Amino acid sequence: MLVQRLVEYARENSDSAPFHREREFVWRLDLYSDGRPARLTGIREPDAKGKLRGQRHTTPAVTRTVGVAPQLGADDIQYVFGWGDDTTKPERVAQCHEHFVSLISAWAGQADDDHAALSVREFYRQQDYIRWERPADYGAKDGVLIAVDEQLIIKRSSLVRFWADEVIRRKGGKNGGFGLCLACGTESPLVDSIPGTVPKRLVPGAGNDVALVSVNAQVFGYGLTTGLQHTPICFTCGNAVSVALTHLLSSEHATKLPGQDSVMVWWVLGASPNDIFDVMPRNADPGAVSRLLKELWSGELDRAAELAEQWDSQERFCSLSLGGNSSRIMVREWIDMPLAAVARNLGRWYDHMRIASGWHDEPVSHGLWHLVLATGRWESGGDGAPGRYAEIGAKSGRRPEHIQRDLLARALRGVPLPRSVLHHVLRRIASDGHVDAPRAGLLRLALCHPRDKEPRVSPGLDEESHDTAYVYGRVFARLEEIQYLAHGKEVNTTFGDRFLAGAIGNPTPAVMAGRKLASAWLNKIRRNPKTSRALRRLREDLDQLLHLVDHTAPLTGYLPPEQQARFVLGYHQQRAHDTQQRRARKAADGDDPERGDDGGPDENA
Amino acid sequence: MTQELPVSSEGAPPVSVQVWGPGALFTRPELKVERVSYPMMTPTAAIGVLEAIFWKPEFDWRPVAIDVLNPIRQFTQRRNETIDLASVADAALRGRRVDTAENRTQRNSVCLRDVSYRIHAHVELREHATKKAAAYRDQFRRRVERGQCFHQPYLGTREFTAYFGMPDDRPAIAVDADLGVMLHGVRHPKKGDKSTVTFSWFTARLERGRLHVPRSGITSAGMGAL
Repeated sequence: MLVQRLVEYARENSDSAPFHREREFVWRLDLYSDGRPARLTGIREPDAKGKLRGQRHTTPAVTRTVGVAPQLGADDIQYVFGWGDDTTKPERVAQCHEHFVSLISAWAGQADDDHAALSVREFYRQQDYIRWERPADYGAKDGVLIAVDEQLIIKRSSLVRFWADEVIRRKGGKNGGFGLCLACGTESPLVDSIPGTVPKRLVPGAGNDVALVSVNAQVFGYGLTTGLQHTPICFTCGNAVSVALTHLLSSEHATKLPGQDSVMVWWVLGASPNDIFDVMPRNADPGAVSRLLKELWSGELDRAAELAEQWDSQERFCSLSLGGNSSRIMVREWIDMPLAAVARNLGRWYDHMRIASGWHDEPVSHGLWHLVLATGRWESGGDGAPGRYAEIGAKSGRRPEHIQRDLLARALRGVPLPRSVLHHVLRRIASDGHVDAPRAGLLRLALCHPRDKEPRVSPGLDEESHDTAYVYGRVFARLEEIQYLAHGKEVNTTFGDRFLAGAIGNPTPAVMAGRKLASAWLNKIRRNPKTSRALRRLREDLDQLLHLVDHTAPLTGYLPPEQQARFVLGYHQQRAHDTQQRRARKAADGDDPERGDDGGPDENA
Repeated sequence: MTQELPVSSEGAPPVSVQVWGPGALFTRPELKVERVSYPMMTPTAAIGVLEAIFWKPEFDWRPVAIDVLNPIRQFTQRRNETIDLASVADAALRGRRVDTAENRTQRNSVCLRDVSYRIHAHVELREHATKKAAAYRDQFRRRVERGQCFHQPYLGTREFTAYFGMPDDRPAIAVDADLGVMLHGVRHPKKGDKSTVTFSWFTARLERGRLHVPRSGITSAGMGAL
């Protein structure tokens, strides 16, 4: 249904003439029917950054690969004037120009009542341009527009009609097939190759302009044939596929993060697009997310999704993740689901991603951009400066190139996150020694199954949990706090710096070492009058936490990834909880009586 | 309501077999280079499974319905393939070999994960058949019971092995969906016939988890002349 959905999309969203495509033009040839001389003008203008750019126009265009194939009414300067440059062969340029002039003559021959067509043909008959002085700064592939009496000839209705027939002649194959179209299901003239392509700049990994439907080698086709001989698609649908893809990929509904192997586009059929999808790429609008969560928790989303799935709702959500492979488009993910089912998946995505943060009273959600950012390397700032993540797209970020695709599949299709994501995030946390809310949110997403109505892991501190790994994470955070309170910032290497990476894989040795070290730290706290009041609370907290450990399920050896994630979540949630408590105490008292100005180890924001 | 299964010309109900496997790829003809699968088994793939279990020149298989028993889930894989091709004559007479490394191409596939189908099909006798259809149906059932097959059936492509067994009473998934134009059959020309291969199509729709396959597809006259 992918091709059919794209054809439907093009029908509803594109009004450009068939077999037209947008491109940049830097020259304009003006012809006049009143006898004024023709002239060639440069039409580059500075853009917002001051760089000179040509004008973009949608003009007749059809895929051309290695052969000579002129476009009608506007083309490269080598076709329009026969002017080559250092990169072109003179014989080929002459051939290009000859074909272009022939095409113009053929159009004028058919449109003998169109004065513009006759003027252009006359211009080429007289060949005055051969004596023109060539501009100094032209390139053979610069685009040239042609206008007659100040009107671009690409707008002439006779030209548009003639061009459609010309494309059918060129792309219909040797025998000019006619038959059932796979996309629209009607009997129509069939293409031998798709007439349009998608610009390569829109598709990551593309080596050239790319096509979705292409059979360009014997081994690809049925019975070792090339071309679309056994893939019946009509001209209208063939054109619509590339028009729809270009339109979607250029729209706001395209999510394309640098360094990723795919671009995702989405559209909605039979309903107006829900604003919740608009916030996917960057930030989650808290208002929209809380509305969605409210509907999820009330069971409304589940009921709507079940009904829509059972009765094939016509309100559908379509999403396509694409990557380029030379001149072909790879479909990496194709979603065609009832809109209500996607809304439910998205609701669960936000529900399962919510995570406590020390800087907010309520658990927070993050947009796709933040989550992808958090999978990269953390660069700690020197001399007390705040750290930051390596930029998205930077090679030093070491992000998997499929992370955007994995996260979107979890959000929209409701499939579990691949194990590789969990491994990657844990490895990054251990290497960077840095956990924050987006990273903890990713771990929570990995631990919760998308079908869970009740998440397996709580967003905030779970004080009742006896899970050994989780409690050890909390103990680790408490030990870090005790050290901080004893020594303040005057420690070169903190307990966390020293033990966190190892503790994620196997927390037992780190906790045992921490308990030994804690005796000295607690003594120091006791001797300091500023902190001595906190001694009893810290001792009691640590003892209570150690009592929570389920001694019937001891942690032995290297932990499996899920247990590692639970340890990190215990650590993060305890720190977030402590930060919240400190904020609350500060708000109540104006200052923290136990800690002076230090407050405690900050949860990384 | 689910439509009843059509009976054969002799009034017999179709025979059924259940097939399943960890993966499947029923390639859509419009997306067959960078492959994308139909969301479920096609009739031609079902015929392939049935013929792998039991085939005789005396009859043809005609699938009438396919039930989808597992939720439709997909996964992608990308692998190295070759675009080099050596003809039999070249290989035998001139020692031509396929140079995979020189002609490597990568192809992506959107496949189906953890699939399970129940195929319902009729035995349609050819003119020279010597037994009644019931005899072939019984042979087929016995072979399914014993797990016998001429070659291991597969789900769309040979990489995805199909396991098969007697049908159980598991309900089909409660899903309705339009699947678009689907391949109904491929007709190869008889020996000496100069016409080319022709395809027939039908508009596929999943209703309460069941795909009904019409007796004949739409064959476009012009397509054979392409």
